[in-house]
Amino acid sequence: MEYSGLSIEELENLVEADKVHKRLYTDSDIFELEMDRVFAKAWIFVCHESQIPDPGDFCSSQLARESVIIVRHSDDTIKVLYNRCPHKGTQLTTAASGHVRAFRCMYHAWSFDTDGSLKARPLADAYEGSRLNTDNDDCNLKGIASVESYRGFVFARIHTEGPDLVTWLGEARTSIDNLVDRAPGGALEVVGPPLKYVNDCNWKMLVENVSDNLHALPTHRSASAPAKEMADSISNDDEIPTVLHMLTPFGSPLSFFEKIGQTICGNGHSFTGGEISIHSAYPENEDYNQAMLATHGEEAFKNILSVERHNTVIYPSLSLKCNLQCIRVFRPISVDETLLETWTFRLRGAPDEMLERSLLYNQAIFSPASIAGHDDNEAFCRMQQGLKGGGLEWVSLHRHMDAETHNSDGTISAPGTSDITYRHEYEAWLDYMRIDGE
Amino acid sequence: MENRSQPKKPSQLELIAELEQFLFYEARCIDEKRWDDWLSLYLEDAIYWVPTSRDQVDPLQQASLVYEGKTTLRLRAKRMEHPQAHSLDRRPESTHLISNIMLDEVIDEDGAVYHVSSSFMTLGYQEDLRNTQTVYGGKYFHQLVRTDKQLKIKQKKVVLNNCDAPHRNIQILL
Repeated sequence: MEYSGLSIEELENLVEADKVHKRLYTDSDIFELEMDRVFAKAWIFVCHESQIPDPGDFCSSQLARESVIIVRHSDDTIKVLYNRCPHKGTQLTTAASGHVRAFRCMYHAWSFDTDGSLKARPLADAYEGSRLNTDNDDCNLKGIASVESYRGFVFARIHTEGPDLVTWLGEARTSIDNLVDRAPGGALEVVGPPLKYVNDCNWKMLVENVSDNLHALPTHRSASAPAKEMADSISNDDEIPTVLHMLTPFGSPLSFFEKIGQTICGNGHSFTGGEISIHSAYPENEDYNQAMLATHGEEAFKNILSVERHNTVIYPSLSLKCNLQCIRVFRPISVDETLLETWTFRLRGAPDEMLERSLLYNQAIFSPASIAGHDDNEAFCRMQQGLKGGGLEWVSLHRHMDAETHNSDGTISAPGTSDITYRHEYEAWLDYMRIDGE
Repeated sequence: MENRSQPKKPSQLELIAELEQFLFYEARCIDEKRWDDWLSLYLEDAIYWVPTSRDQVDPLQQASLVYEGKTTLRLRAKRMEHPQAHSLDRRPESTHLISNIMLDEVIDEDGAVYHVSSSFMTLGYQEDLRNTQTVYGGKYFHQLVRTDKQLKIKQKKVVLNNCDAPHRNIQILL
């Protein structure tokens, strides 16, 4: 689908070094182009390998506009297949996950192996002499050509051309490393279905909010202020419930959020925090520390746990919280509608309390029935409504234009409330929006 | 389900009427935004649980929409009254309807624990900026205990019909 109405020159005119035009959030033609380009050229997170441990295990996901099935084939490779029978277009499954020996279409009983190849179709003789004979690749389930995993995280890319996954992740892969290294048993396991929260806003607002260190204090005051008040009323620190430890730091002074910093990693990827974050002051779990020490030894243990990344963005579909073992996945639905999925991991070899802590956080912050998330959602909805109007045309990205520190690994760091991450994301965005050769 | 033990008094019908009135009263406290009255119905070690799947048995092994003890419920109540609870600037309104109330089981330990199930349909208005009214429906499973002659909630489990679906804001208390 291409829109002749939007040339690359027009798109370039909507992205300036220090501001972007409001149409990027409100124009449905731009949204369709994003699905054709950004979400087709970038590696998109589709699932975690622990969801499909054995051959025949599958799960469903979304890749740009496409409903896809991720399945482990008999040779242990992972296939990503369009969820669409090549016969009449019927979706093969409506299940979120399951196990099959073969996919069998409910309408006319065409059946397919887990690599997508046609196994059988009733009264197959009738196709002889037609263009849809068995040699024709159109008989098979169509697959996504580019599928790669990094330490259990499965990504797929609709475009066949482009960098391999590790190259594309660049330094951002170190956040995946840190998340996995936090498992004393060396691996993560997805637990249960994700929390699914529909936000009436453009997908980029959700992605940008992940790096927004300016909003926590004013937006979440109604959660952080009562949490602090309740925590302050408890004289013995050891008796402060964990949920109060989690919500109180949202009310930290802006100087704290400035200090946590942020770092851009190329291709739109970034992380906030590094040495401190709003998760730094949680009480330690002694059993977990012992398990980590036993696995990694003193030095590596300290190195792994000293990484205090607040949020990481793998642009445009994924965000990680290393020290809370959870990820958020951004699934655009339409120009003003985005599904946020929050997945929780068990750290293999860690005590149950680590999982309980992660669940507690996700429920308090990312659930549709959460305590803090409603105020994020309110901000997104009001922005989406506000940007519909005329008058003001631009969205500001002006903070800390020149405060950049170039690091030896090629990343660039900036103060916590800088707009550097958004500027970096729009650089990547514009690159994706260019048609090859432009 | 057959009762394991029969309460001696009040009579079964009076008891069921009392339990019904209790469920209606809790719903009324929510609909009238009487958060302190609502909180006072919960024991200090009470659990309020809204699972993400109909067959979810363990709230500590997968995420729930809500799984909270009294501290978090208290925090929730304080937030609802906070002047900077931005998403509540346009106060959401709720109407709870509760029906098909059954006393499933009475367990006598130190005092009686009444397992009460019911069906609910709840309207939520202004859950988002679109001025729409949302319909929630499903089953309640209350565990109620009698302390100092008053009923209190030990556990409330809310199984939404669409617990596994993507949701917009669920701002009203179910």
